Amino acid sequence: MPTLPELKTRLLPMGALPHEDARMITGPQNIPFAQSSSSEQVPPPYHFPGVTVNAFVWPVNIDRVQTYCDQTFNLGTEEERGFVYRPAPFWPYATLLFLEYPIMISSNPLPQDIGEVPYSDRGIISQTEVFVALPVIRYGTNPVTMVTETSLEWALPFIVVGNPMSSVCGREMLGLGKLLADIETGVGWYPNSFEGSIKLPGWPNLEPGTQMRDMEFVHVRTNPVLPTFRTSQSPKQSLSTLFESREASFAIEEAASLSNFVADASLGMIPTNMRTVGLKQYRDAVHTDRAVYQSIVTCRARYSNLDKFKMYDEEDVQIEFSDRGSFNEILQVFLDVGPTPSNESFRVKPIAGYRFEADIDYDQMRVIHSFPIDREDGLPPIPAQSDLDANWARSIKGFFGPLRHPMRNAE
Amino acid sequence: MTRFVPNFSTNELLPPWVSIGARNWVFALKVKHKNLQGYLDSHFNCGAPDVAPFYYEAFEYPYGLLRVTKHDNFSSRHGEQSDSLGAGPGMHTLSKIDMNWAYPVQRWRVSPDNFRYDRQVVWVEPMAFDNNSYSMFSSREIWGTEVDMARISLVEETHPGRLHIDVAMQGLQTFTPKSISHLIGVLHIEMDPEVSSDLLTELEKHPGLAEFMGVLFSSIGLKGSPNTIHNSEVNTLKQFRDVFNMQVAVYRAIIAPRTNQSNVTDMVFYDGSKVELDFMWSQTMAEALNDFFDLHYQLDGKRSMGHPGGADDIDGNKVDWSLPRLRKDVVLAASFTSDITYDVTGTLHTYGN
Repeated sequence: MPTLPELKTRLLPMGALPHEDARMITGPQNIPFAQSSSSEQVPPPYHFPGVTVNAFVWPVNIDRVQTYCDQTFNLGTEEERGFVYRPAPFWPYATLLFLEYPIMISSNPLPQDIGEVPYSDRGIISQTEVFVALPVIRYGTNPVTMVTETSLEWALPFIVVGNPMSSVCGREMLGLGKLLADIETGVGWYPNSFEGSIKLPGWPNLEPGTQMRDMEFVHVRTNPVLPTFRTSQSPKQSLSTLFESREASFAIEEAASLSNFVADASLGMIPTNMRTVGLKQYRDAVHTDRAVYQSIVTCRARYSNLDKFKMYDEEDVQIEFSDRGSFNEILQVFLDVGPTPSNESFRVKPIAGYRFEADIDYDQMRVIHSFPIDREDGLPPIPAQSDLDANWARSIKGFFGPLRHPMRNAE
Repeated sequence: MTRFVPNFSTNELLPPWVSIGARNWVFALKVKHKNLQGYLDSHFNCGAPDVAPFYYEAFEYPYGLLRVTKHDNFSSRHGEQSDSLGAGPGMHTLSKIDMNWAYPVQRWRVSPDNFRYDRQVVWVEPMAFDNNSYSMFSSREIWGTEVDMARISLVEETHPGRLHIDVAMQGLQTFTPKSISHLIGVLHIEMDPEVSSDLLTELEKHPGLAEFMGVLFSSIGLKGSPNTIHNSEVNTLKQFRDVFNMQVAVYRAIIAPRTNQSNVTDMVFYDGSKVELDFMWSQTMAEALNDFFDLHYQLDGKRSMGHPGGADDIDGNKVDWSLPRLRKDVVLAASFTSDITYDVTGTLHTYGN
């Protein structure tokens, strides 16, 4: 009588290697989610028309980005994963984005069978979201996957929202570690300027027994958008003048083409297709240092109808993060703060600040890699599974090798 | 072992949790058996796709508890037992108010031959709110209770005595494509805490309430009581959705947390008929009110509207109370102060194997 692994090997298609079998869907499947009456989670994809985006860019320490990639995405060995995340060498910057969503609706065309009224007809959520985006590249680790599975993605090591429902959906469905915050945005002291701030729950110091409280995490102030006479320097010194130069614009476009990611991001300035990547994981209830589920999830934020692009004079943009108490741990990911809180403001000097309006569609949610899960109580381990094809290669997948992960993702 | 990757956004408050000097208010509500059993059938007794080797059965006495607890010193003791993989040193203590709807049920173990044996009393919490996002994430992602974020105010005054509790959450009054989510009222409670009552008198008024209170008392330890072990096991359904399919879970398991109420002092009982408890109807809350409390509202129906005594803000946030008000009778109320320990004892069943 053959054992199950032996039987599986015998049933493999001619020419297929045993390890390919391990990359088909295995482990628990078709587990129904018990919909609670009080649950407010909203099904993706989502449509967000008329979003106002204020963005600020500053140089980032590449070593910190690599550390974040290693701690968050490059788990296990490279051989097991088949990919490695690294910082995008052509865009060594972090971008802080304030997004004001006047309307957030589910655009899921499929019946969800979980209520009388389809989610897209239930109403509108409006909220503000703030995140720090770091461009990272996922490289395939062999000559074929280096071509077909290399992809530009955006890691969001810090993301906060003002709506509880959005934070829960982000954390539990999409693998984005959304924290709930009080976010204020609006016009600053001058007309056509911007001012935004975030208050987060945190601990003002790390002494035992210290009570959590809401503290300001970051505050951003700008002068009016350019052109304006309210600048502290000659506007000709601003980055915006770069875009007025034909030669410089050409050089930028060339650099973007060379990077081969021009369709994904215009040098990171104005995203058109921003594929986010996050680690979706849940703790074991008893052994809280263990994960019962761990996967890398990507989603596409597709920007369209871009309008009203305006730049701020970066010299007049003030960004102050609070390096106080528990916030130090957050800042260590993307700022050059020390290992302990300085209890002072950490000022960032941006190289660009701009705003624009756009419609954003958030779709193409994919589990691109599930990490193996070891389990107790006699339960069988769940092996790793991957669906790593780059977006452009998905329409011709199969050409480079056998199809994998056929049913897990939506397409 | 698959190591959980901790970072600041997933550094939840790891159990065990301890609340020192928590102020508790409990309101016993009478509900139909079908409302108690319905949640058990949809969350614990059904196949998903495999059936857990347990059967959950509601007691015949038709009561549950609406519990509101004000925690001024709520902290994690996880770091005292092992190297902390959650919040760092000093990042353990917070204050919050939570509210939940809970009731005891019978959990039977079921043999492969479908024989029920080994009956145990456990609690379930079908509905819960918390006004601290940090502990809300911890409850959902570790403990397994589906807690919703809420704005909660609890005002306890003396001379004259007054207890006033308001709960509000982000939601939609009615479901239409143009409705806008905003902060809407969920619940309002008003009572005079200085008008106490005798427990025996109250128990005689309501059939089955004495048995229900017996279960309740077995789970709390009065200060000075020789028996210091008063654990009450809670069973939760911990589940997380697939990334794009709302109907599929990537993880679903029955978790067995437990709570221990000790050093219980200042126990006072109140005549439930003296308590004003109003749920505010909205389409966001409609299913919960129907499923858990058998409270209904027809859009063309004539009901009382709004917050009694006028609209109130919570934490400086404007709350929309212009909603139909559904009164729910309270059979008995009680207040007490206690130390509470929350812990997780195990995973009873993991689905999908």
